[in-house]
Amino acid sequence: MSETATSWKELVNLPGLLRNLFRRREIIRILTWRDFAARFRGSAFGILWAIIQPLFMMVVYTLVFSVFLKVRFGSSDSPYTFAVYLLCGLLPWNTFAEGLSSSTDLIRKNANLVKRVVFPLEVLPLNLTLVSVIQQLIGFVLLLPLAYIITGTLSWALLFTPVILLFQILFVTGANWIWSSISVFLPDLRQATVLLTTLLMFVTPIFYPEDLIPDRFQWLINLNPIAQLVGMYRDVVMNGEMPTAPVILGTGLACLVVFMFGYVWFMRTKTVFADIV
Amino acid sequence: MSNDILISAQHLSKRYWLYRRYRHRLMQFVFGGLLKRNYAEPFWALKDVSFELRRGQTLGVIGVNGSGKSTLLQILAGTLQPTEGSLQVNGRLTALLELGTGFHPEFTGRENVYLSGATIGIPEREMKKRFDEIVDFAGIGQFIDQPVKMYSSGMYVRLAFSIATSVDPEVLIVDEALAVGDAGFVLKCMDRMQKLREKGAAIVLVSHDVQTVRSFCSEAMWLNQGTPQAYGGPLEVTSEYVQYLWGAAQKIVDARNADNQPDMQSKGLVRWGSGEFVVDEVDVSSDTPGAQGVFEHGDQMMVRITARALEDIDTAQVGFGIALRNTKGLDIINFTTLDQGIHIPPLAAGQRIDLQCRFGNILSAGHYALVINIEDRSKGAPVYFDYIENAKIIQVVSSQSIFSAVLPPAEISYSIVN
Repeated sequence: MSETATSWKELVNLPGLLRNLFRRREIIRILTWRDFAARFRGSAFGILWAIIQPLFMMVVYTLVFSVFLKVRFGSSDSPYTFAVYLLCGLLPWNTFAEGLSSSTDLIRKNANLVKRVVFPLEVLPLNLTLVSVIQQLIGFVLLLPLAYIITGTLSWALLFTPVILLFQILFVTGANWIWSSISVFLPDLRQATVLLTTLLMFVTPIFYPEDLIPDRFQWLINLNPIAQLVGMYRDVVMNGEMPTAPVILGTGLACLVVFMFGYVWFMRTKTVFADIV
Repeated sequence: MSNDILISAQHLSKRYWLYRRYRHRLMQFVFGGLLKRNYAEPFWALKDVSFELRRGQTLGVIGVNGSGKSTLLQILAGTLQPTEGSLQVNGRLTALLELGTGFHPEFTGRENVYLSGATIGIPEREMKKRFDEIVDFAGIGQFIDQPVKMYSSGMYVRLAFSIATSVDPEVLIVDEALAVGDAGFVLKCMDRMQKLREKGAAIVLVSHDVQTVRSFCSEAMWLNQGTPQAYGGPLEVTSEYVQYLWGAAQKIVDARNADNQPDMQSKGLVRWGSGEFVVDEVDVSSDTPGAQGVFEHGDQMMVRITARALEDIDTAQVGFGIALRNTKGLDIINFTTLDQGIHIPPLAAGQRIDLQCRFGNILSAGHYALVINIEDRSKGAPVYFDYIENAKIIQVVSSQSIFSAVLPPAEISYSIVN
């Protein structure tokens, strides 16, 4: 019953990691669904908010950037292209940023699960990811008609979206594992994360066209998994083309490394959470 | 038969590092031995605890607050990792640590039942089969569909206990959780734990109540400052514990002599008097050997007092008073030698007297203070040479239920009259 601390050797044990998470599928399912529902419980519109919020966001951004500011973008002559571009970036970005900021008090908020039961704490950061991803998916479903109206076509390349989503889930979950663990030791992260996500948002081309970045800073984009993920989403949604093989392989590998490193980091540190929380 | 051993704990120790800053903790954790300076003070919450528990055995852990009881239970339950030592638990374990266990406050009782099941590793369909029984035992009715943050602490613990005991645990860990339940529920819980034990479960429980440990446990451990002070049969261990609890009072009585006026207001002991005739020693014993400070209802008890005259005393109107006072301050038993018609011969300075008082223990279960005095009634109203408020604290335990302050031995007979 008593678990020994996870060794760093586990870094290469992907089957072990997946087996552990699979064993917890029931808890993950209950918690994710419940957390998602809890966000809207008690409000009159209930689950409708899950649709109203992204819809509202889309309308506002479209109005501001495409109607009022008339931001033109690339070779396209439609002012609405930029709205689609923006949303392709903003939806996955929100999942990432929300994950980081919720991670900072995740373990402390669940102190009773740390101290009073033998609870597989590693599912909590994963839940964060999944709840945000559900919202992101709702946003995507709403985005597709808009993209169709503007670009006039939807490509078969969209079928590649689940793979990008998988990469994204790996990356965000890995980041959540690391962030929620460090936050236990360093409560200051809660404050610092606000600054960090703001900074990261501007080094990731969310609000501005990617080609605005000077060549000598291109490496910032190349090494930034979120920028790569966002770029892949834009490829399939806007351009109707598959990302190139090096991008797919490179990003996939990077996300997997973050995922597995995050897992082992979390599993190694979680044994002392109960001493601190 | 080693597979009978459900818990095997070897040299369990838990060290906490007390840090002045959070970042010190992170630095220590990440860089460990690389740091030249050690930022932390070690604190051993638990030191070298070893025991084995077999099927059907129950271990009662006692000790004052902060003695490491909860730390031990958390380690047994697996929520804390021991710093040293090893722990092996065989079989399904459920635990009730402090209040409420791992409920999610925003979830309803129903959702928490399934979540707890999933945490223990029981799939939803199996929990469904047990669901009605769990809710029924917890007795929380329609509240089952309310978020548990709305629950009273009693409801919380009832549901938690019901879940923990309804899933056929082989090892059950209970940390004083029952303290908040009402008497009826506690009885139900005891009954349920008894049934689990008959099915072969091993139980570890923490209790402040010596009576519970004696009547329910097969072994007992007394923890003091993280160290096991005594381990073994519940009677012996709890006796030592009770003796320790009131040891402070004992020492002060022993230390008193003529030249050394006692400090009157020492912990637990209130003593006053004119001091010409003083009590040197007080001892309470019974015909059950080994039970120091704890006495069975129905035992023959003996209070023995050694006193010394510091001046010549005319004892015509002088006598001893012995009382057992309950926690509400009421004298339940009160003997005075004068009223019993016992007259002490005159004493010269320096003479000692050894007084023994035997009586049947008719007290109901509970704690009692022994009050001893030496009174002089020659001046009308009693004047005291020595008056010791809490000379000893004793505990009375009883295997039968007593619904009155005292229960004297009775012979009840009947005849049928047509």
